[in-house]
Order: sequence, then C-alpha cells, then structure tokens
Amino acid sequence: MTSTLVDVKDLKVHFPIRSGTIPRVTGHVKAVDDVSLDINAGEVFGLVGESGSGKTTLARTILRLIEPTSGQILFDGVDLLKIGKGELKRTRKHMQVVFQNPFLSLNPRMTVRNLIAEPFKAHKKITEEEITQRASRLLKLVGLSEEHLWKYSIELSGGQAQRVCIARALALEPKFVILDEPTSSLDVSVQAQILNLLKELQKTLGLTYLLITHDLGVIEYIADRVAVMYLGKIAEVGTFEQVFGDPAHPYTEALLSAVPKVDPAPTDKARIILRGNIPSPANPPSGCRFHTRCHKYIGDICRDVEPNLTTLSATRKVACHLYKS
Amino acid sequence: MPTNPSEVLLSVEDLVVHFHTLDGVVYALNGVGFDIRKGEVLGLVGETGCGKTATALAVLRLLPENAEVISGHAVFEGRDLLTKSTHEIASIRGRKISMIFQDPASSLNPLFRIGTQLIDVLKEYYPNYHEAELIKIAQEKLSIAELPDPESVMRMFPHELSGGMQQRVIMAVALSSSPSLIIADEPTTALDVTIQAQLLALLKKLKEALGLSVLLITHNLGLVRELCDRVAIMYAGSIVEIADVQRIFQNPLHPYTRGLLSSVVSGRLRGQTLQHIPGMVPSLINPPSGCRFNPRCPYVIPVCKDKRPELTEVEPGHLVACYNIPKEAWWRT
Amino acid sequence: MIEQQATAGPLRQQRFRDIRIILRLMVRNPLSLAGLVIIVIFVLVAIAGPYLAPFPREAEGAPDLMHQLLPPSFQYLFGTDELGRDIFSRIIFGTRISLATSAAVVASAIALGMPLGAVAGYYGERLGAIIMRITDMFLAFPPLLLALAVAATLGGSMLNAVLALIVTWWPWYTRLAYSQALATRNLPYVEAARAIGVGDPVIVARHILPATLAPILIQATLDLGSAIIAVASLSFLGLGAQPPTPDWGLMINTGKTYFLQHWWYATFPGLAILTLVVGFNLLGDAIREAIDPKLSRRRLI
Repeated sequence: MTSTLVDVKDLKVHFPIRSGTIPRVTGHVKAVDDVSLDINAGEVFGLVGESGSGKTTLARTILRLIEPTSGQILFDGVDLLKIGKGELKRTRKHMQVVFQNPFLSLNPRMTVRNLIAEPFKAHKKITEEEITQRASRLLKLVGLSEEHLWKYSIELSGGQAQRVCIARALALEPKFVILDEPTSSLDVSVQAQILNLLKELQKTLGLTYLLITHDLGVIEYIADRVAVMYLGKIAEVGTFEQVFGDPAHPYTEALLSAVPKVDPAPTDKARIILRGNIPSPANPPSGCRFHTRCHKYIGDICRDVEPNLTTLSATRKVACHLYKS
Repeated sequence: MPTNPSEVLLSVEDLVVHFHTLDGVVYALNGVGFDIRKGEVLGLVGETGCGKTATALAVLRLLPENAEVISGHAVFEGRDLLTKSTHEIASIRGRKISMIFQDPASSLNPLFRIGTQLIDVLKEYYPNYHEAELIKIAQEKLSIAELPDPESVMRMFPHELSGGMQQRVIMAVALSSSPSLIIADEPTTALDVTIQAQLLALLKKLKEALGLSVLLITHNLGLVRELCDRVAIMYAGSIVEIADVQRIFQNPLHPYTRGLLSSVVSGRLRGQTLQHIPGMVPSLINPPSGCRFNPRCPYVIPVCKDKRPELTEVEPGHLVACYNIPKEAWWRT
Repeated sequence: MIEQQATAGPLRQQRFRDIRIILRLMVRNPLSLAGLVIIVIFVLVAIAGPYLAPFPREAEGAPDLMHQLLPPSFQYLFGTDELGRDIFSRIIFGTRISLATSAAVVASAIALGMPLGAVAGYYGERLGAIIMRITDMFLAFPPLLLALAVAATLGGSMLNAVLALIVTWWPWYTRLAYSQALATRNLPYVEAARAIGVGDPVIVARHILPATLAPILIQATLDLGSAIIAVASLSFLGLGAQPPTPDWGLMINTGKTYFLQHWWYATFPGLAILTLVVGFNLLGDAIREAIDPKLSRRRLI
C-alpha cells in the first residue's frame, strides 16, 4: 500500500517585478502557478520541462528555500508552510537535495570530511570522532574511499564530486531526496555511473526521489511516474509508460519528438517542430499557455479558457481541452 | 587517405599542441588528423577535455597565448593554415571559415543593437556598399536564419532575444560571408530541447540549400545521428575512430566508442544496470604512454602502452586507431 | 543555462600551492621583488631595532646637547636633531612604531568592518540596509578630516590617533565584504547549506566570511602603506605621537622648522616613509596581479 509522502496542493510562487525610477511592482513572474501533485513513498517521480517551466522553482519551494505565494506543501502529512522554524529545521533532516553542478554545491575551501560533517553539526550533537567515522562510511556507500575525506572538491573529478554531494545528502538518513539535474553537468560515461549509484541507493535505503531533468533519456530510464511542466503549470502527469509511450498532451508529444535519438526506430513518428519561442513566465499567453505553439490547437477555447487538470485514469491527468473527464 | 583529393575541403594532419600552464605542460592534442569533405557535416565527438575545442581553435589560429603548436598541418583550399601569416588568416577566418560557439549571449555585444552588430560585420564583406543596401542584406541574412520579423530584430538588443533567437542571429552572422565551412562548437547545448529541434531543422535546410560543410563539435550523440554524415570520435587528444554515421552506430569498433555508445541512457535499458567505461579520463599533464585509452581498455595488449596506434582503414571509409580491435561486442553481456 | 561540464581538470588550483605560485610569480617581476625586499628589510629592522641602533638611548629620547644639529657623518649617519639625538637611531626605532600602528589600524578596521559587511550582505533587506546606510554616512566624510576630528576630540596621543583611524577606516572593509557577501550568498553551496538546515549565523561564519577574506587581504596590503602615511600625518599635525617618541611624522613636524639650514632633519624620516609605503604598494600590486586567475594561469614558465 503506497502512501503519499509529498503532497503539493494549489501551489503558487509568484515573484514581483519591480521597475520604474520609483520602484513599483509592475507585474509578477508566475514561476509556479497553481500546481498540485503528489509523490508516493518509495517511488522515483520525474519532473520534466524546459526553461521557464517552473520545475526548479517548484523544487526549491518544496524545500522551502523559496517562500511560496499561496498553497500547501504536505510532507508526511505536515504542512511545511505552517510550521515554525524549529520544526522546519527538524523536518529538513528528512528531505535533502543534490544539485546540478557539484563543484558549485561544495564549498571549495572545505575538505570533503567537513562538507559531509555539516549536516551532522547542524542537527546532532556528536563528537568529531564519530563524525569522521560516519563520513567514512558514507563515502564507502557512494563508492569512494576514506582517503577522499581529506581532499578538497577541486581535487576531485566531476563524478567524484557528485558522489560527495550524494553522500552529504544521505548523511541524516532522509526519506526524500530531490535530484536537480544530478547528471547534466557530467560526461556521458560518468552519468551512467552516477545513475547506477542513485538507483542502487534508492533500493537499499528505500528512498523517494523527485528527479528533475531535461534529459528525457534519464527519466525514461529511472522514473516511475512523470509530470510534464510548461510555463508554471502541469501539462500532464502519469506513469512513465503512459507519458512516454502514449503522450496525451500535445506539448509532451512535441517534447518527446524533439529529442535527437541515438537509435531511431522505424516506428518513430515524424518530428514535431513547434513554432515560436517559449513565452516568458512574466507574461504568459491567455487561456491555455501552450496555445501559441500548439500543433493540435482546436479553436477559441484554447485561447480563452485555461484547461484544468482532467483525470483520465487512476494514474493519469492532463490539462488540455482535447480531453474531457 | 583514399578519398578524392578535390573533394576534401579541410585536411588536418598530425596536429600536436601543448599548453603551458602553472600546473605543468598539458599535452592537449596528440596527433589529431581528419578530413572534411565538401558539403558534408563531420561530427567531432568526445567528452570534456578531449581536445575538440582546442582542435577547432588551432585550425583557426585562435589558441590562447600559452598554447604551442608543435607540429601538424591544416590544409584548406590547398594551403596550410598553420603556416600562413596573421594577415592571411584574418582573411579566411570569419569569411571562408566561420565559427559558432556554445553560448550565443557571449558572442553578441550586449551594448549594441543586433542591426548595428550585423552591419558591422557586413561592412567587411561588402566594403563599398551603402548603409541602406547593407541593411537590406542584413535583413536577408536574418530571414535565411528563419528569424521572424527581421526588421524588428535589427532594432533589438541581444538580451531582448531568447537563446534560440540569439543563436539564429549568430548563424546569420556566420553565414553572411558565404563561408564554405562552418565550425559549430556545441551550438545547441545551452538551448532547450524544443528550440534545439528548430535549430537542427534549420541547419539541415541550410546544409542542403547552401552546400555548406560543417564541423560539428558536440558530446550529444543523438544530435550526431541526426545531423552528421560522418563522425570522428576523439579521446584524450587524438582521434580514435572515423566512420560514416550509420556505420559507427551499427558497428563501433574502437573500445572507447563502444563504451561511449553503451553508456547512453535511454528507456530501452530500463531495469538494467547501465554500462560504463571503468576508470577516469586521464590527466593530460601526465598522460598514459602509447594509446591514452590503455589504462581503461579491456582489450589492452603490451604494444598499446608503447606506441600510439595510427588510424588505419579497416573497412571502406571506416578508420580505427587500435591494435586490438575487439571481435565481438563485449559491452553488451 | 550553460551546461558546464563539471571537471576540475588538470588545470586546478590547489590552495596550498597558491602561496608558492604567488611567490614564484612575484620573484620574477623585478618591481614586486623590490617591494618584497623593502618590506622584509624594514620588518627586520623593526625587530632588531635596539641592537642595530648605534645610539639606542638617544633614540628613546635622551638628549646629547654636545652634538646638536650636526650634519650626516660617519658617526651620525643621518645627522642629529636639535637635542643632539642621532636621527638614524630614531628612525630605526620609529620603524617599529610605524609598522605596529599601521598594522593595528588595518587589522582592527578589518575586524570591525568585515563581519558587519558580511552580515549586511547575507541578511540583506532591513538589517543590511541599516548597516550599509550607516557605512555610507561614514564614507561620506573625507577620511583624513574625519580622523582629525576624532583625534582632536580625543586628545593627542598615539592611541587616540590609532583609534581615530580605525573609526575612519572600517567602512571601506564593510563595503568590500558586503559586495563579496552579496555575490556569495546566491552560490549553490550556500543554498545547499540552507537546504541542510544550517542556521544563518553559522552560514555567515562558515561560508560567507571566508569568501570575503581574499579581496580584503589584497586591499589590506595596499592599505598598510596608506595607514603609515595617515598615522604620520596625524603625528605631523600634533594629534598623534607626542615628544619624545621617535615617530617619523613627529620628526618631520619638528624638523620642518629647521629645514632650511639643516636639511637632513626632515628629509630622512620623509624618505623612510616614502620607501616603506612604496614597498607596500609594490607588494600589494604584485599580490593582486598574482591572485588574478586570468593573468596568473597563463604565464609561460
């Protein structure tokens, strides 16, 4: 029986734009606009989207690194937006993050040992001895050896540095890890190693992942369920077979067909090339945000009315006027 | 190389380049050689630090001060670019050979309008034309690059354009001298996937229409498959394999190529552990002797550590630099 | 977003090697070598003072009325002053004073200004605004005038001169630290620390402050030279060291009255100041050039 670990309801994150000689708020960047999704314990939930989709903002808001404008974020039943600083800090132990560029995520002046020590020092009162021991064990867990404890991040390769980031994220034994483009900065052959590691860790430690990436191959490889975002809204949500095998939303279709394939199959459909650019989230199109580029535009309704997330099945939802519930 | 010499546009031979740094000498390029034929797109594929950008910069004589070209030739239209004077190179660079870089925003001056920058370049190629005529030509180039509403674009500043549009402007600039060769260094890496698809289609169209040759430097194998005619795989400063694009995906021969292709992540491999090449890319300050891949190669034999293997043709059009080409695909166990 | 291929690569900067690299680069440049040599000489003189000076008690103030205002000679290398004291010995003792006071000024100003700037930069919003507005207020005054005003209020003494200068100088470091803190607080590793749950004060101490150190240290080396001049100026004006202290500025002050007939009295302390400040300037420039990543990485060895 799966339980919902993270439940995002009607989340809005709007950033005010200040301009003019006397700064006034002239508009808002609607980075995340009314997003609801749920992540089950033990699953790998993929989140895809291009620039301006809001996926990065959504991730940071779940971690409460950014304050949302409205909505709810339920973690294990507790609304993160209603708890005090103390409880928030305690909750942080259970949700950690691995960022894209490992060299920027690790303070270049700190040794690996101290980098991994940071979570311990923030949350537990344990001795320096104990910290070093635990750090050593964590390094082994991610495939590095004890000698790496005394190195600085600049002495490591990309893959090794990312492993250190993963070790640090696992220090407090979290239940939930957000992976924000964990392999995008790495070379192809290193990506494979890190993905193997992440998969293994998920199984052995029973972790839940929110995997954010623009690399559809990675999502296809590892995600159980996927959500596709466009301009701050969710276009489609479903299992990986549904979203990749039979995409419902026209944007998902175009996204999948846009990726250059290493091994094209004869059954592949012709590439859909979208018109125009991705609009700015400060000034999104009216109605369905995708209507300006949609190749399945059906008429005025797309331009005038924003489609709600319609439930197509127990696992599947789409926000598109082509579908009625 | 058994190709018709008149078909070859650029021939790079035995390029050896060292960089002098405070950490020591970086033996960056270790005898790089390949040909680009007229009207073809050659992909130069490799991971970070393998030297693909350095190769392009070496050909165009754009290497930084601390670089030393030890030996090699880059023969373009009958003459060696590496021995020409700076004056002669200036007449080729940007005109007969153009280059496009990864980040379009840093190739455009943020302080000037697009029109100003484009006309600035055009003045070089059309020296006796009036301003009005140049404006027209500029707009023409912008529409060849499929920019909507070229007139408005001319008046905009770079930051007002999206990444995809900026890259199109760069392409318009690169095409304005009607070059015979374009070197594109990771032109779409910084762009979103759907925008990349647009630019891909444009590049294909232009290649057909203008008979351009393109040296496409990238680490994206999907892009290579879609756009390239032939591919050269590069590892730690030398070319290890060259073949037609179909052939290299169907029958990769060099152990590194096979490793690279096997580690591409896709849904097909769902549930399986991903293959990857063991070990790490070597330091080029202290590179392995002989074939630089030897520490990581499962087929290593003693001669691999002594002398770097030369590119030899093992089937028509397919060259590999390896002493011990594997007979079967061992990566897929 | 540029997809940066994340490798530190072979061209990496190892912290511990940085100092050796900097020294190597500096030694190659004749000007910076000169600066380094000058500073080293003065520091050695300051340390060995009492043993080097031929007339140590005169340096401390004991008069020798038999040898007033003598021109430079073999016995009195820089001549004597109106009380017959050997100027050379007094200059040697004065080296200690100059180095010690300028170091005290700079170090204290940093100790006060750097944390303020780091806090202002990291927290931003109201706290940052308040701190920076106060800083701006202090920066609005011409530095020497402000120092004069404070020193005059406190009364003339070396301690007060130093205090006055600290009060004048801390804002410069606050501003440096502030801009560096602004840049650092958005870096992924700071975000990562917040995501881990590290408290804000710890983040400032552990991540922000060290990042502000580099530009401040570079500035500090140059400032040591300025501090020497500032202290000397205050003493010259009577608001710093008091007689019989062998402070260079004070010596110039007294010496100016005798200048026309006895040129050596004011000249040699002046030259001492000049040389030491030039030394610090050359050193500071050299360090800045050596630390600049673009310049240093590419030098052909």
